[in-house]
Amino acid sequence: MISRVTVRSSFVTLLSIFWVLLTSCQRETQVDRATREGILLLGNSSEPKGLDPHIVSGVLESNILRALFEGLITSDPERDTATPGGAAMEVTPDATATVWIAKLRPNGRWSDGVPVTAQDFAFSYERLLTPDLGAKYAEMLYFLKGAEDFNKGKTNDFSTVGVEVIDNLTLKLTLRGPTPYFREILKHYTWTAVPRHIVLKHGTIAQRGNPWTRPENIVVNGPYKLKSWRLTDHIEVERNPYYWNASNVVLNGIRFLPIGNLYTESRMFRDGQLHMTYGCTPEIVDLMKKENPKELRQELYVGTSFFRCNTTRKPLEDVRVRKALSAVIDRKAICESIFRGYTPAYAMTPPMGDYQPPHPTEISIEKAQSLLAEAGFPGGKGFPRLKILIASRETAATQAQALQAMWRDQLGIEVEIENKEWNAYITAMQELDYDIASAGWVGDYLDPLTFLEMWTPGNGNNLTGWDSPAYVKLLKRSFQEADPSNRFDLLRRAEAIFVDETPVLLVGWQARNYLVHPSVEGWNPLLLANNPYQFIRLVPGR
Amino acid sequence: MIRLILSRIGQGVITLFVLITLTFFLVRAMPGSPYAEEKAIPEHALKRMKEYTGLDQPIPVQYFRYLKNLIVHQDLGDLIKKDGVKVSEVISQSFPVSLSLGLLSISIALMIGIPAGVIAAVKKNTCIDYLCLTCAMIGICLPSFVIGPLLAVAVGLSLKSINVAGWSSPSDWILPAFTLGLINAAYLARLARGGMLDVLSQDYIRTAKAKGAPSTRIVIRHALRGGLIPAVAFIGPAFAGMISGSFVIETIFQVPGMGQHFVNAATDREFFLIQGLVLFYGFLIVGANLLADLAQIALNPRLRKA
Amino acid sequence: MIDKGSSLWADAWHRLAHNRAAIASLGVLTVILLLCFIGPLMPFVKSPTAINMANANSAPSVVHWFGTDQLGRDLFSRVLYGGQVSLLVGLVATGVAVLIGVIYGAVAGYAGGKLDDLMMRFVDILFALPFLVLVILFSLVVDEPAADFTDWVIHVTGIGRDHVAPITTLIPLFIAIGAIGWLTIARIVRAQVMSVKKQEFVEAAVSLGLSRTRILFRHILPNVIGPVIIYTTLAVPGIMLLESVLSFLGLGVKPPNSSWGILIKEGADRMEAGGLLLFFPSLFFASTLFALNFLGDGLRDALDPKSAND
Repeated sequence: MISRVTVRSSFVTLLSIFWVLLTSCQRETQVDRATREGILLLGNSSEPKGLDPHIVSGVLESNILRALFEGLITSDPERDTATPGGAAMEVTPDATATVWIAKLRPNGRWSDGVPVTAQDFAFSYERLLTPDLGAKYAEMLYFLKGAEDFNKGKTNDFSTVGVEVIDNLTLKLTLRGPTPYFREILKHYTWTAVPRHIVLKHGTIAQRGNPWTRPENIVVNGPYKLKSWRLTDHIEVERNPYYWNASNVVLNGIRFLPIGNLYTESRMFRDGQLHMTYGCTPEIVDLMKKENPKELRQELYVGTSFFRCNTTRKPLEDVRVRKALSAVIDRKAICESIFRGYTPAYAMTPPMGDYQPPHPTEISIEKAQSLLAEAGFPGGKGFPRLKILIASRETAATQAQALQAMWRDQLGIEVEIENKEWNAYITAMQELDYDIASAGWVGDYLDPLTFLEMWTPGNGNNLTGWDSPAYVKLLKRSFQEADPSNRFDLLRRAEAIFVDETPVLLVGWQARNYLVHPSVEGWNPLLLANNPYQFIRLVPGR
Repeated sequence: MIRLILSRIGQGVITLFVLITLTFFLVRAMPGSPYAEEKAIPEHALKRMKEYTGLDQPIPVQYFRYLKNLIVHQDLGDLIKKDGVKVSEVISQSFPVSLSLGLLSISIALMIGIPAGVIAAVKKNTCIDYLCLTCAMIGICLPSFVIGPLLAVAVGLSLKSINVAGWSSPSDWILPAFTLGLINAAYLARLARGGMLDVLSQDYIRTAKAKGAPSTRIVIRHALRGGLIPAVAFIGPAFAGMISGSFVIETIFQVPGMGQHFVNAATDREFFLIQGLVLFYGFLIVGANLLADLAQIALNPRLRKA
Repeated sequence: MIDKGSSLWADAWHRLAHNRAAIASLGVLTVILLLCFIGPLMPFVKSPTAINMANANSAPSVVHWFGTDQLGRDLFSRVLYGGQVSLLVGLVATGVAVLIGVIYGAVAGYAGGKLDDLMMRFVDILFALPFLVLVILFSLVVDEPAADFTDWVIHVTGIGRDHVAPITTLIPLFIAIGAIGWLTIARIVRAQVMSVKKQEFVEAAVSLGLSRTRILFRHILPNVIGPVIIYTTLAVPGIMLLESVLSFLGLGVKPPNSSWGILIKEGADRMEAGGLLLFFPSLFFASTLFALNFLGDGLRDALDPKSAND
């Protein structure tokens, strides 16, 4: 029995190997074929958690949602600060930037041909904010007047929220205060619309697990619609013929591949199986610099890498200790040798647009040593054995080992590295059950607030126990400030307090290292990496 | 005979029941939660999400609900983090992939391992013996996370028609199957060698030799049947492991199989998926052992009376 | 036939000494053991944890024989120190697993009947339980006792933490691997015992009125030693690699300490950027395993009671 199966399958294997060798000279690569067909092959890290813009919350999901759904304003293919209309022709503020009027396109259609209306948008915002849906990212809509109270169940009346349908194509949004940067916020996928008629056809407004996003049901308003979805294999989207600007969509489709292993992803790219990778490890950066620098992209990204300090524990509650620990970190060495292309960070917010973060004066190593001595640990004597908590990821381990050595050499302090599997790591951090923990933060929109609001007490992302009334006061004042430059000034002063008190040890501002095939044209560096796909052109023969 | 089979099936059901119960409580004792996210989820949203999946209930209630769902509706439950995706969908989409990969790699393992082991035994303590064993043992002396990428670079990158990773055409099956097959080839070769040596020193083989039968014929006609028993016995449990996928191979070669779910479900705390996978895997193991036992009974008349 | 006492062992040793591959393997293993455990005492071996980021990823040189890693640490000394961990794990953890597996399998196989059924279904259950879940749970429970134990050893012996901690932190690892690794061995021993116990010499021993324990341990077990040796040597590589997986999950070796498994993983990741980081640890790892497996085959051949007539 076994031998017969063996013989047969070995025969098949031999045949297929033979066939493969025979045809090996003729076949075009997958990228060549996809380029010819106008399909973009994209590495997208891992399997998305879903396609409902009100339910999901990750970067890789947003990459897919961007192809399927279009908000009032979309990102521009060339410049970060440009705010071209999307589903809306224009979104205009009043004098205080508090009330905004959105004019929808008369030719906007869902992918089943039904017109896109202001009611769809109002319905979507109501759905996202309805407490029963339990949307994780409802906070993004707290810019709307009354949204927070409604979302937290303090009122059941959605008419108290600043969303008003004027007519089928006109939407009035009233915000909680002056928000001159509101157009940037609108680019986030939480502000896109979902089809009211389809959501209600398959369930109720606030039903979890509503099957409307299943492949056979989903209806969208973006340039593309879902074509096929196989778990942990691929998601493919194709042209949406009802898209209002369908005639100007260049790219025919996109195939998202959930490749979790970055090394595998780079190999697939080099083998001609991908147009673009999700990321690129430092080793591959070095290799590509040598072999094929044109295909390597190293771009600024709105992300910061840092280590949280548990400021509720001794001796980290002492700001002098935190400053000493921070001062002796050789940021330049870490950014270059471990990450490749990161920028040494001296503030939480990376420079973006007109906002320049505060630049504190550097503390010398001698000063750091004396700070530590003042705190009661001259030469590191008597300093308890702290633990650096890291998630089981290799760059974190390398980084932590670098800190470990720097603190040992410069301050005479011994720390341990505690490796936890990801879920346990997150839990330990949320329960403040750690000393020092590696972390990172990526901005949701292009405004410093996305980096600063999290450090207020009680915010679910603070996780350091740090609490500064002066900081909170400055942030609150900025919420009422309509003038952009005065507002940035307030935020800068708040950030200066944060940097001075050092609740986190800043390491670097992130860069996005990734690989792009030369046939891809029109993919420009954007800070949020939220490039719209429809303008990408694939040029064969490169 | 029938009573024996029935009692074995009964044992299997009890085993699965104990297994699923243990798993149910173990996964809920793990630190962390299915809702742990880098960006914290607001309290009230978390409450609603737990209500939706039923994880807000006391654990005994959850347990009886799960059993009821499983026995009455044959439903393994839904994923926690992916709204509306069923556990059974995940298994039914990934198992065929792992099954075909497993079958191919076990054939490769047999093709390399058995001949290498038999030849090594016949040519005991000669250069040929050492050469065969060395080749066969590469698969365990170098880890698969080294062999996999090495093969991908050496074969995939240089041959245009073999992709370094992916699962879209049959040519994509070769590299992962080979990597997985090499590991098991090593086991088979060593076991086959040991088993063959045991048989070759037995009296009836000596008798055959003394009678002047040609040695290749002795090996093929008399020794193989007995000598391969340990290797064949190994294939049973190894098979259950191979067709349920391998995390390392799947991530290196981007194979949409079952192995990655075993790992990701645990790190993501996808309770229902872990339970579903364990039940499925347990079913495979119990089934394989049952078949092995029955085969043994069928082959060995003496055991039938017991 | 079995109870020949010392002459059996003398015979075995004699046969082993005539097996060239086995003797060469023994030599290789001795050299590697000496390098890893005595080598680091030599003054020319550098610190495995001293970082020099300006000199990262350098090629082999007079100063750094094997070159340096991504943080500029000396790879040669990292391979030696990592070898200590891997060899210890390979020896101790495998030993624990084999001991449990042999006893469990022998009892199940010899007892037969209901007890056998019960014991083997237990093995089935353990086999199917999600390994990762168990590891995560175990590391949750074991963290504090392990730390306390380290402190206690330091307190009692007065040896520096740098020497104690790398060893004591491995204890949970030994327990974890031992607890998981015995399952396959138990199955194999059970099957062998079941076939051996039907042979004439066992029946003879029974009719002589010998006790069951004595029959099992003196008469049956020596006859299953061949397969046990083969499985043991086959299991060692898996167990050494299991260590790197467990360490990655936070159970076992803590950075900046390392092991062959971890070094190989790091090297494999950087394969495309230069293979030396992969080559040297793999060389040590593979040589050890090849030697161990050839030695295992030699031992099997030497201890095979039937091959005495060859």
